[in-house]
Amino acid sequence: MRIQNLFTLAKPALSAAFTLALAAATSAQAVEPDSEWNAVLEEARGQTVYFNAWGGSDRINDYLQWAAERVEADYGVTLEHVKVGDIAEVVGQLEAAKSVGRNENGNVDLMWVNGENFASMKRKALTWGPFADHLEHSDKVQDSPSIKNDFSVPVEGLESPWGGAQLVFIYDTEVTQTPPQSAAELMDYVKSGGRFTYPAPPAFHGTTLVKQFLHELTDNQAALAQPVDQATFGDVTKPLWAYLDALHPMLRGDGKSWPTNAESTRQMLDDGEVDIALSFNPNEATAAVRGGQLPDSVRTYVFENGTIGNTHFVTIPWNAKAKAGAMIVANFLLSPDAQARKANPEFWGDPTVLNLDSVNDEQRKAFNDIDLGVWALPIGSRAVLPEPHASWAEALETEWIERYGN
Amino acid sequence: MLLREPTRLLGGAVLLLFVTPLLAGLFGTVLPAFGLLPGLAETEGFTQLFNDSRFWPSVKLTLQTGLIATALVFLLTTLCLVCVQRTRIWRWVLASLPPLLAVPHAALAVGLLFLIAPSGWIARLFSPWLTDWDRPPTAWVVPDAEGVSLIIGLVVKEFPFLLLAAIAQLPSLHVDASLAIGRTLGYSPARCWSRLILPQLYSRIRFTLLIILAFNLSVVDMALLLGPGNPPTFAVFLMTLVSDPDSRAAASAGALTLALGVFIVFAGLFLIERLMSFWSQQRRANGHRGAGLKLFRAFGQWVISSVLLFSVFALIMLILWSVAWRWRFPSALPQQWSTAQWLTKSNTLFDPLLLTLCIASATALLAMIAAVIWLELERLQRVPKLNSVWFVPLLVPQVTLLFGWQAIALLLGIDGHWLTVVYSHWVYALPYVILILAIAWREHDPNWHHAANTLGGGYFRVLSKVHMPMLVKPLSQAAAVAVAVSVAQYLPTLLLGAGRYQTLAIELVTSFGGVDRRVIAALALLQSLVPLLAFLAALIVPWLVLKPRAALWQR
Amino acid sequence: MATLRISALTMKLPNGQPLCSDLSFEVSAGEVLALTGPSGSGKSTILAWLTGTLHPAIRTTGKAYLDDQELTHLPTERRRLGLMLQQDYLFPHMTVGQNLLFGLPAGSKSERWKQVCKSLEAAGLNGLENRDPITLSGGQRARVSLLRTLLSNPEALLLDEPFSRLDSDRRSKIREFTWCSAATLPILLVTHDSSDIPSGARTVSLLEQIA
Repeated sequence: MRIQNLFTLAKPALSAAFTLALAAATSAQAVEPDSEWNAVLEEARGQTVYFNAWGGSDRINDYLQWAAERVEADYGVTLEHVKVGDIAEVVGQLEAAKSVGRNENGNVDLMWVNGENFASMKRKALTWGPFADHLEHSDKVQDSPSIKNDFSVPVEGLESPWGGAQLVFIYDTEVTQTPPQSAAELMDYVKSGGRFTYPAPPAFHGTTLVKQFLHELTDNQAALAQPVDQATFGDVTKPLWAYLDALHPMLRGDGKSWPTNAESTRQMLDDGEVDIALSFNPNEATAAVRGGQLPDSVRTYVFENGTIGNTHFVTIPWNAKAKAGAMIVANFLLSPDAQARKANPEFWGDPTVLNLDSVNDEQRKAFNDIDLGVWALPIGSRAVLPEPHASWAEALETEWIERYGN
Repeated sequence: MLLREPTRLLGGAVLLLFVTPLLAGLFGTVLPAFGLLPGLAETEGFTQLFNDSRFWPSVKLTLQTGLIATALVFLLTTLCLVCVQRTRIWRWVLASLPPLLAVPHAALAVGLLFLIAPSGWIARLFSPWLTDWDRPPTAWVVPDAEGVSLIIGLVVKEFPFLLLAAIAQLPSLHVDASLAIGRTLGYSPARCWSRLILPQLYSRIRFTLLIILAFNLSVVDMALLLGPGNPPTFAVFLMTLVSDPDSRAAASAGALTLALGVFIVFAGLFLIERLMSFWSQQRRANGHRGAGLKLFRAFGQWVISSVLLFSVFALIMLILWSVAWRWRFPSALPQQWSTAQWLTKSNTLFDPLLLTLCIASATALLAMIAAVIWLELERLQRVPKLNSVWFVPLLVPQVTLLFGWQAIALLLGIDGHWLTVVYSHWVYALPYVILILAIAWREHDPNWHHAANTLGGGYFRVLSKVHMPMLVKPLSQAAAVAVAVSVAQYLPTLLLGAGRYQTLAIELVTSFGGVDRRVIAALALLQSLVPLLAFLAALIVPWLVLKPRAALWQR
Repeated sequence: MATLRISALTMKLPNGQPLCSDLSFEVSAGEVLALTGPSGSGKSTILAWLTGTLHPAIRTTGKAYLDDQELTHLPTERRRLGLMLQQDYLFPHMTVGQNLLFGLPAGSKSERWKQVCKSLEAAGLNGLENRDPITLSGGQRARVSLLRTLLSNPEALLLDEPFSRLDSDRRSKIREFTWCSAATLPILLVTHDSSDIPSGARTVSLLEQIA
């Protein structure tokens, strides 16, 4: 998950000291990725798992607080949420640890990643495993390409899926009767006075919308599944820039001032400064309406031919101290209980990664009972388009900033 | 005398504690800029800096916003003195200045956003009955690409600062006498000011003007909230560089460039001063009396009132949003009210509040101790008077010093320690504390000491029972200012706290736009309330201490 | 009872201008010695030197004694010299009683308080102990100030124009009060008003002394 908080929250020195102290105290019985589940359970008991995850949302922080209480009670594992602003910086720290040969007792036991960050971790062999397919609940996971491949990079069991996400649009039915259904319609929409803007890349949602435009406009969709090729980048993206050149002067702020994140577009929608807000959470509108942040009259939709979606994962660094505990937590996060709560807009509202045919009736009921409200993206909406290969994000961001950044 | 050589050491320690970070900041910025700090920066950073496509646009934007804002602050101050002084609204202006000065930049910026945005309160107040807008206008956006919002923010925040500095000088300038003499000679009040008073006043507020200029050119928190993003101001651009480990050298090079740029602008200002003084000397004796335009004075009063009301309304915005549930354009007041954000977000709000209070009280306490030690030694003539040294942290851009501190702290492994954070706040609070207390200390009649001493009171007894209680007014004011300075510190807390200290300032700036507006309003309100309450306490405490009260057992 | 003695006092301003040279005199218990001379002649400077509150830039040689004890190397608070200045310097943040207690040597609480009340009574100021000094009249303030000095048990009394701020009516009353209350102490009186000097007092004129 790439979040564009400029600055990271470093991990407390205390936790490092504590980890070192623990390292001295515990034996070196070290679980393997494919150990017997009982052995994992046994070793995990009493461990402290430092889970490095974006800490910018109260709801997510509260969710993790709930998870911590549960794993403590059920498995005797202490879960510490280390709140970070941008997980890329944690990847950087791991890389530094690797280069100085710190191969055990690392500070990070579990981390929330996807996309470029996972690609970079996999390339630099910073992950441990494959562990994901050995988790108790892994057999309930959906059989979907976006879970097997993270931004076109094969996952290969090196990270365990946690939740789904899809680029969605929120609009106010009292202002907009027929929202645009494609990039081309969006152009017409703003031409006829519609109000729109998007977060400036490298803000995550902005980059995703640019990818969405590229997906729709390019003549060479196949190239997107491959790593960026500098030789063809210009050709592949040419229609995109032509489109943006025409679009930008008609946006709010004339393409000169941009919101910094998707939450701002939601606020602008409420203020009436824009007609359409972006989100990566199909159920965000429900939470926002219930929280008094959007009017009753909003609805969520995706473009006619679908929008880009992806999955976010958790992974265990190769040098994690509490690997068994980390597996237990990853497994718990995948459990029908935890997934049902995560899917509930009251707590978080992220689509589940589980295949609901593989859970028992009682568990399925928990999912079906969730009241998504009329505001959320209707179940069974249009297709989820695949993320382009992980390398596209940076290439598009760089080019965007070069063209429109100043 | 009781105190001898060891006391000089104590004075030396205070000075050393103050000067060391200044030098460390210099080294920590210069070395990486030239690629001389192994582990942090191995190659020089100027090439990368100058080749960055954001460099020139951000420099241009910074000069534009910083210079225009400073010029406006100066013009408004003179306008206020000429048009508002000796009118009915003058005492309102006087009363509003200290609280407005106490409101932190970030909180004020947030309030202003709620005020001047197209969907802000000003537009709402006049819509749709006057403007016919049933949706927010699209004619402008906030923040805007030209930096107008940032200029408004800087002016509204810095104008009270310069005005207060000017007002403090008025008694010694014998304004009433000058005005009386000038007017009996037939000059209009404006001419009396421009020819008799302003030339004397200018040299006395020039230091404050320089501080404001340096601040306007290098501010980060306000620019993050009110400034444009593409390109950002130069200081904000440097912040994006410094958060990337590969750009430490470029960030340091930029910090040096910024400091240099600020000093070049200072030099430019000196040049303008020369020209102005030459020109005004030519004019001064030309005998033109000027017409005492009533209209001009009315205009000035109107402008000044609106600027001050902007701040007041910004605070009202914070209060209203923090208790709003639904509040859509164009309603002038929330449609639904709620205290939910206060009650349910208590950890988001009150954890940072508690941390902010702890850091601010530690900062204030340590700054007061250091200042009292220094001024006592100065009074006992153990240390010299060092007026200008204390100003240094206020004249050097914060970014420049802090990048250096951060580099040094990283190398020493002391970043993220609470003492490091408090230390950095202390360096910024101490100048104000010393300057406020120095006036009181130097003006205090030494005979109070002599009288108490000859009654048999030893040094510490006289200090604690006579001297400090008698100076409780300036002492409480200085403490309140120290609290206000600490509460407003964004950059030091961020860069030296390694992100671990989620104070109100940090929480407000980093979560702005990402978190519920109503929670943001509550955070900003809390950040304003802390210094406001500190100033209120500074009014009450002296009254409690100075009013003689018989101890219970004596009754 | 002690004798205040000054021996061979020479004082020079930082610019080298002498204030007095080789000045010696003695004030015995119960005696009033008046130092006279125009303003700027250094009268007050001698008192500051005696109490140890002199600006260090003024260069001095000479010694001061209370009986046989040399004072010049003692800190101000241990010289046991009572000092009265033109203003009364009653601490504004303390009640009258607290002001008096400040001068009184340490001891049992109730004992000291009793002493404060007794001395106020003796001075005709009974019942004022819990008052704010601001609420007192000029004459009352002057008397409280003198009481405060006397309660600190000085061995000698230094008066620097102590009556100059009072109106003429009160002035003579306070003078009487002072000479009575401090009758057993050596008193060094600095004044430029000859009517302040009690009959029978010796006078040292600084101007003559330099010339």
